Amino acid sequence: MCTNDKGGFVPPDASKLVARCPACKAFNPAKNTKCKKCGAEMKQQT
Amino acid sequence: MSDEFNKELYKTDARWQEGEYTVTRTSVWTAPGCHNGCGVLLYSKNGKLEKVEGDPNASFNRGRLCLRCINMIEQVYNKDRLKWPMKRIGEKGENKWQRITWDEAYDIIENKYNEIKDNHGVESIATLVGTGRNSMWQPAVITRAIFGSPNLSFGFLSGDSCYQPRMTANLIKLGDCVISDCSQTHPLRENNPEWKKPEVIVVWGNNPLVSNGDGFMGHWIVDMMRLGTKLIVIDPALTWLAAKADIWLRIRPGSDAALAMALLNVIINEDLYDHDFVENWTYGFDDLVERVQEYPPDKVADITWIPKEQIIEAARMYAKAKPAAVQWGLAVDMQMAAMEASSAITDLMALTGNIDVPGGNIIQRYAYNRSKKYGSAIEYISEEMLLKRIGTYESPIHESGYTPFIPPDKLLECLETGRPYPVQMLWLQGTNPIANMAGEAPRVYAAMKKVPFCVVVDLFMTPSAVAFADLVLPAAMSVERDSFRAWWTPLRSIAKGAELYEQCKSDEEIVLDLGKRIRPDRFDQYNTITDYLDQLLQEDGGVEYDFNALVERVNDFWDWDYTYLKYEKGLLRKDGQPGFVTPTGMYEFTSPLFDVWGFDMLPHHIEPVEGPYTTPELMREYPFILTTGNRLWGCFHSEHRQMPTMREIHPDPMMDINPDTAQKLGLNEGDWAWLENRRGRCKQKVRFNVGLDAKVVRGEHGWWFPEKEGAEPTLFGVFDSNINNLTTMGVHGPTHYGAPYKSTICKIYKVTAENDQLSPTEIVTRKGGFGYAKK
Repeated sequence: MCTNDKGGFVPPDASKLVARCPACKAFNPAKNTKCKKCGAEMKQQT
Repeated sequence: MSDEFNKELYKTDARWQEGEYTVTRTSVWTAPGCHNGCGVLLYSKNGKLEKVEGDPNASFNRGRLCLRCINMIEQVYNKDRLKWPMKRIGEKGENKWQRITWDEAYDIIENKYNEIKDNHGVESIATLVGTGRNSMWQPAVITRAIFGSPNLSFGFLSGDSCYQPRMTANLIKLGDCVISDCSQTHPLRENNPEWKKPEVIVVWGNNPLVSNGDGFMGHWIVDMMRLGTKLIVIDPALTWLAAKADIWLRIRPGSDAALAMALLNVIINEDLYDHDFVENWTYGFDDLVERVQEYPPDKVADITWIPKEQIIEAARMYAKAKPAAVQWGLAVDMQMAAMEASSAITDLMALTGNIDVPGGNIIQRYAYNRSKKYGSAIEYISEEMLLKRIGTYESPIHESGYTPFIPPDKLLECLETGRPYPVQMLWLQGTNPIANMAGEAPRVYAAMKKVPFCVVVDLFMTPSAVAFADLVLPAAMSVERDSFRAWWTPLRSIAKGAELYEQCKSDEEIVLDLGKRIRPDRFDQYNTITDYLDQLLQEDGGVEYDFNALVERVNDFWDWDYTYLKYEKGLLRKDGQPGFVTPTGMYEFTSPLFDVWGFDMLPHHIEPVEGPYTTPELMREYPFILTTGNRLWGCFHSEHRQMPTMREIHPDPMMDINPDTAQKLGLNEGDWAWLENRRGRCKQKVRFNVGLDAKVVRGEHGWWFPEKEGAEPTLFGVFDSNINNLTTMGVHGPTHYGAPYKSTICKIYKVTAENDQLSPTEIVTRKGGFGYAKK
């Protein structure tokens, strides 16, 4: 039927904007290298 | 809903001959402006349009039309219409022009483009577009695919406060946009076996019978009422729909977020919410429960001026109705708390389990997902060039790509300060900023005067064209061109039903002409407009037919758009899994994106920047709350003022006032009155409105007077009755969305010979404005 990579106003890929800390599950900006809440290492998006 | 019409006479063919008339069955959509795309029958003879009728076979409007289409002949063949390209020969503002050919016009543009590219960089070209929607994608392509500049913006619409806050709130909370379901997504309409009638529709902040906002025709509300749908109307004014509603909430302008939070409070605290949806499909409900406790109905009654009992009654009525829909509009966008109100209202839809259910608020995408280029064309811009977008990096939502536009308030600052770089060229297509969209219009006038080169593409000579343009290009109207509409659903042909007027060109022709000159690598592949439209229709997995086939079909419904509960069926996410296109995959009451962007994660009320609770001392001088921008039956924003028929219906700009208030001020109905605040003043005619609160007045927007002298200082009287002499630029909510067009303040007094010596337009064009300096 359709996928979300087409169309006009569709949101950007959220995984490029926000990432979840693997340790405490807090949401962080995707560019963060350490979690803003618990300081754990964040896995970088590729 | 009536199916009773002569089916032999009203055919389902795309074209037929009826006596001496050729009948073209298609849709019409801007220009002249409109948010809808009604099905029409264009009757033409020898290439000239003679009559327009509503198409009873078009399920969208079922034969119904408003004045703008019915009166189309007067518009297309209006004597004042631009006929050929023109070059300015006097000073800006003198309204002196020389007729030139299209080739000469394109030579001037191409030479200027090359000069700017070599000396300043193409990013110093900025484009402004209006709100007709259809003529939004063409200037986007001109700006980005042809000039290579990333800078595309609304015509100084402060806070992007038209539909952008509502759409963006939808996109952040659930990853898609929702529209109230009056059966319009299915060709069978009410006969679609899956569809259900909304038991209740909340008409929030719009008068759809007049405004016919995006993807929504006002008649549908009446259709639903005939089927038994009950209404809750939220509006400061007693509209026709408000008068027919079970509950009319007469809200203080600019307090919609507080009202939505109180409704959420009642629905949660009285356990009227949809547990199944909340438990299985949402994120952050507990945080919302905590937040809404800050908004009990008695407190919100003080904020909104709506009695507590009415708030509770409305919450119960909406929550208990299954299904129920919210039909929202511009008033939600035009306030400081636009994003917050939009978010809270979207939460109401989710909390009550009305997202994507029959008769609720259904998830919609552009028909067949056509097309990326709609209002965007951003894929033509390199990452390096994207970084040069004006003002975008001061707004995380803009920076993140939730909108393809640059913030208009930041563009104004750029024009005023020359930072981050001076704008060398403005391209205005289908917009007349100082007459219409621009808040604080005199300030925008002064700023636009600074730009060295300006091109205006429009239908008529406008105040903005006279004041700023070096070149004016005449655009074709909808009935004269080939295009299509995919803004929501269905996919519709826009097929030519009349020959081009004089030397006008369609927006699409201008795209191709300029594209072939400046970017032949991108545009030489298209020999005709049809080639180009074919690609727009077919690329990226679009439809399997071409433009000519769409013309034959007239319209085409996409099954995705009328499939319900798409989040359960894995129809939203790229990975095909159930859920929503959000970071959590759920509907988000609490927004992680807002958190990482530094915004409050939950909706909340924000007081208007001027008002009884924020600036009580200022209210002593300016005691009325001023709401603006209510729609007119015959005129679309600043358009249609040249039409005798429209002016018969709307001869003068009108301001609405409670008759008791008017009496205290010594004003009679029909008097001219000044509306004034510390930014400026304008005059409009007094009209009594018994429904308005005694402390609220309402002023019309978009007024200028084509019958007046075009040259400055008169400039078609553009500032004389301009309600945007009183509104703001650069005043918006924390997310950069929403500006208080509908919730500023003013005083009112009678126009007299003594206080009307110098017109507001002369004050602006000759005296440098009203002397307001932002503190």
